[in-house]
Amino acid sequence: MKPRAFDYYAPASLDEALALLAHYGARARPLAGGQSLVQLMNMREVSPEIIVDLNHAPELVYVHTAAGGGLVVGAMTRLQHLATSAAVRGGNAAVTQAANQVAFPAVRSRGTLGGNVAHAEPGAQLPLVLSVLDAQVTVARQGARRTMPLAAVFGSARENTLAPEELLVEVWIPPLALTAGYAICEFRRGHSGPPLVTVATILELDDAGAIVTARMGVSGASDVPLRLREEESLLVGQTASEATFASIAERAAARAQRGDPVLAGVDLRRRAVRALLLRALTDSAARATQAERQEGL
Amino acid sequence: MSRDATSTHYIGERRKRIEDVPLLTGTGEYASDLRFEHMAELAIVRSPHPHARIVRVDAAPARAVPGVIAAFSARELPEVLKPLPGSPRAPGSRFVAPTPLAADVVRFVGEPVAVVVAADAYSAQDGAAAVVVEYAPLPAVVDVEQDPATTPVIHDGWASNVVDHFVVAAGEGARALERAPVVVEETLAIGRLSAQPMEPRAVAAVYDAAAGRLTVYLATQSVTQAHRGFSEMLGLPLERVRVVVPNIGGAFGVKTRFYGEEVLAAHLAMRLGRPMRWVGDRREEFTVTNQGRAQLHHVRIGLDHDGHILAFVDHFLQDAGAYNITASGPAINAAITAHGPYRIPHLEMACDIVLTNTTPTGPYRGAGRPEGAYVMERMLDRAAEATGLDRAELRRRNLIRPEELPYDTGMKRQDRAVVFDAGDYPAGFEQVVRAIDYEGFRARQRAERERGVYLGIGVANCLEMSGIGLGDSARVHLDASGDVVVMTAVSQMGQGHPTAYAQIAAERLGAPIERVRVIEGDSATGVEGIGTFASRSTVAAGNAIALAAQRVRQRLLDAAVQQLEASADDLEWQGDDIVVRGTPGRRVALRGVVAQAGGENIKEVASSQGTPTFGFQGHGVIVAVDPDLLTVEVRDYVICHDAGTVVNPLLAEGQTIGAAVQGLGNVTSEEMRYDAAGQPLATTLHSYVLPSSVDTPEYRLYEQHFPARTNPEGFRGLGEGGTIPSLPALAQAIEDALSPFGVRLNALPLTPQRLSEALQQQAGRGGAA
Repeated sequence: MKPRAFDYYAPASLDEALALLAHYGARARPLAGGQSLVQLMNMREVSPEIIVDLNHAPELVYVHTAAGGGLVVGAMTRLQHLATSAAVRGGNAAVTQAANQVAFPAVRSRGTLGGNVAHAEPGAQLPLVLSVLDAQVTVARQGARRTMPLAAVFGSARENTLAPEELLVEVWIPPLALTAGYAICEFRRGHSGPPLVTVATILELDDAGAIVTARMGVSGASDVPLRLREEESLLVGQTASEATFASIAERAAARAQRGDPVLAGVDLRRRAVRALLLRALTDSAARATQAERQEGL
Repeated sequence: MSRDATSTHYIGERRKRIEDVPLLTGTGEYASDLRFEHMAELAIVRSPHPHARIVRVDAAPARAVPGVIAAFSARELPEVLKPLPGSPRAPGSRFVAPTPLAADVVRFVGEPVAVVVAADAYSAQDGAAAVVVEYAPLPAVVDVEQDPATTPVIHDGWASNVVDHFVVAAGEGARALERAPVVVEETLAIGRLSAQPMEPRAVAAVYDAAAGRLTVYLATQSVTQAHRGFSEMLGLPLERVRVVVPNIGGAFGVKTRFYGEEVLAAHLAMRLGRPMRWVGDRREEFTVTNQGRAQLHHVRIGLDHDGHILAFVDHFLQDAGAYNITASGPAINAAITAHGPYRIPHLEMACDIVLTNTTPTGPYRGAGRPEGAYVMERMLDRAAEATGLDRAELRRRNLIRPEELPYDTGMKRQDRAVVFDAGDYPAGFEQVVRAIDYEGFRARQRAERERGVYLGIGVANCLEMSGIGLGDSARVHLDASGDVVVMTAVSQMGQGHPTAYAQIAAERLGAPIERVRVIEGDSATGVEGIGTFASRSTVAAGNAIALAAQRVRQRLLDAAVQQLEASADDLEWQGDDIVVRGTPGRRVALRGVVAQAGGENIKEVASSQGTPTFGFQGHGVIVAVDPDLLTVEVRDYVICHDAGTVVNPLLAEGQTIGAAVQGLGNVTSEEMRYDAAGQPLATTLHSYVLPSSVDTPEYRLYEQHFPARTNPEGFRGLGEGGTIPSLPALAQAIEDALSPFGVRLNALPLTPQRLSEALQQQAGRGGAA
């Protein structure tokens, strides 16, 4: 459990970090919180030649309220900050809950939002929840920036789509309508074990209890977070009911393809998707109804 | 002589552990904390194949790696290329031991092939990665059920992979089944586990060439076995080897055995003339350190129509892994423990020890005992079903009554009769049944099921066999100032010996406990014994301490009586004086008494005498199983155990709860699985799920106190009892919770994945209710 030797850079600014990444390309790996990368390096599953440590670039640590609503979060913002910040809770409580479900406080106090997303771990909570929230990311390279849907970051299991010289620098999280009901449900083994399957749902209902908008997704059932677009459109216009949700959950469960022989095979993950989606949709509908009532008061 | 009038009785007192401060503040020293000048680090090159012939090993490229000092293949270390010594072997059993490095054939993934020495651990691992090993893969044997006609033989010179066979029998054995009107047959399996102590194995060795003396710092449960092992493997006389045990960060049985890395570190320290250290990492802890359990039982139980057991016949296979490193020890324990607290006129436990291309198995908390209890208790569940009796009622009808004790089972262990000594098993069982509200449960279960909650209940019993291999010594040493030093040959890894043994010594010596210090885990003490395992330390070392302390006290008393001209009964030890109780003026300095009794100090060595003892333990558990996610939540857990004479109730409870949590992990979350090719599938703590403190339920403990009749102090071991019946109790409860689905759960573990497989199979059979 000792990594191979590597060269270490601790740039003091984002520009300096981008210059290093531009120079070294695929030979370098950016180091954010290190909660996954360092483990993989210790096991020599990953052996980068060069580490560009982002922990000394303070400009990547911030949480702002966006002009048009929502939150703008710097990539090096610690998960524990996301989990406890009043501004985040006020801006989007689903993010607060998702951040709180990541591992345990020691990991959260070091782990970062950018690192968590870019690591692209199947089953992880934040990549899923942010995808379902239609979050966007800003990706920088020396002299250029682009924005793209956060969901497009995930290439395959533990592989992101960013070029080696690119860095995920910011996440924009759209606001959650006050009338929206969200739920995040997960299946994990043991209290602090990694999540095997996570489900996130957001529903808005009209006064009659009909579903106006539906967003939902599942992670851990495939290599990247799976947005359930077809199921979303099937739900719109329907009345929230257990029967409706159960049939949607059944349909979504069949989409689970990922499994491993020890923790959870495909069959168990399908069970999990089915059960968690039913629970999440039921909770979302209940919360949406509640929010509706509060709105009306 | 009694103690200070203000003190309480030490034996039986709830005292907090005196050794905890350094452990809790991070200042306790472990083998991996040790640093010596010019110390070098080892890294081991390990086989990636479960079974292969070694074609070529070239360690030269490693020597070119910066920081590397030396690198050796097996052929380059002929001095240590001999089988490792084993644990004390049972008569007739066949011990198959590995060499520190494999020279010709590797037989499991992780087996050591070459060793690299470097100035630091990083360079050592770089060097290990540079060693070139060419393998010719051989077919791997993974399944313990083998067709001798088609299965490759793992060790040359053997006719098959069955390297040992034994039978434990009572009465007429299997023949009695023929007369039984009801016979139930079942195949039961207990899957393979990995112990995963917080601290992986570690060793540091220092050789003083001028004096010709080797000192090894080793996290071992048996300092004396390691002492002899180094002497034997390195050809050094015992007096020139010292083994010191630093703090141990957990062991659970897997640090009992003597391992190859320890020999390599010691040999290379001597050969290269610098201190040498090897610290295993988590992956090595998964692939190299002994695993546990891994038994397959084909069982038949015969009963009369009233549910009385007539015969119990079990033919079982122990998957020993690639070597029979324990000389069949855990399998023998399983055979003895299966009997349990029941009247069984005829019994036959026949075992084959079978080798496979997997990591060797050995003792792991319970070391066969939980497997034995699992087999008996699950068969009682099946027997209840077959006879139409309630599970608790069937057990009631078969429990040995107090008036039948001592009860000779008819079984023999190492040629000695297995006799249950003392207790009240029915009372213990009824305590469990009452406390878990067994009678009221069915109504509760029905009500909860209507709300979609799947509750299940399990009750199971065992007799915890402890105190095997008695004969350990202890030395009690009283110096002129009145300080007492107690030395034993056992070592502790969290059991609380420094506290409990001080309590025993202070009680039997009549000394203030503050003056007693316990020294363990150092071969230089010269104290004889075989180590800490099998719940034996307090029985083996504790009795020896008590005896030695009594002898010291007698010598003190003889001297004090003369000096004070008082009766021995009136004397007590106060501070630095011996005084006559009630007349404070009549006192004499301890220093003077010690001088008269034995010069500068008094030393007494005593050995424990006795035979194994069997303590009752019953568990009752209620679980809720999530019918979708198949996770298990413990709703209530009741334990009743007979701890005999308890030295320290706080420590006893800690042992019992810790053991029970380990049982919970064994059943609901842990599994060491191999694929069909022989590759281990769990080699990190991500994929091997240990229960955490947050997953731990509240255990409700009840105690019985029947002093053991087989040792003078009446002590019983209790380190494993919490695990033993937890396996069948939890399995029974989980099966009961899932009974609407009609699944029969014969194989442990019952992880969500395994339950999912069972439900899938059941659905495939179309048997869902």
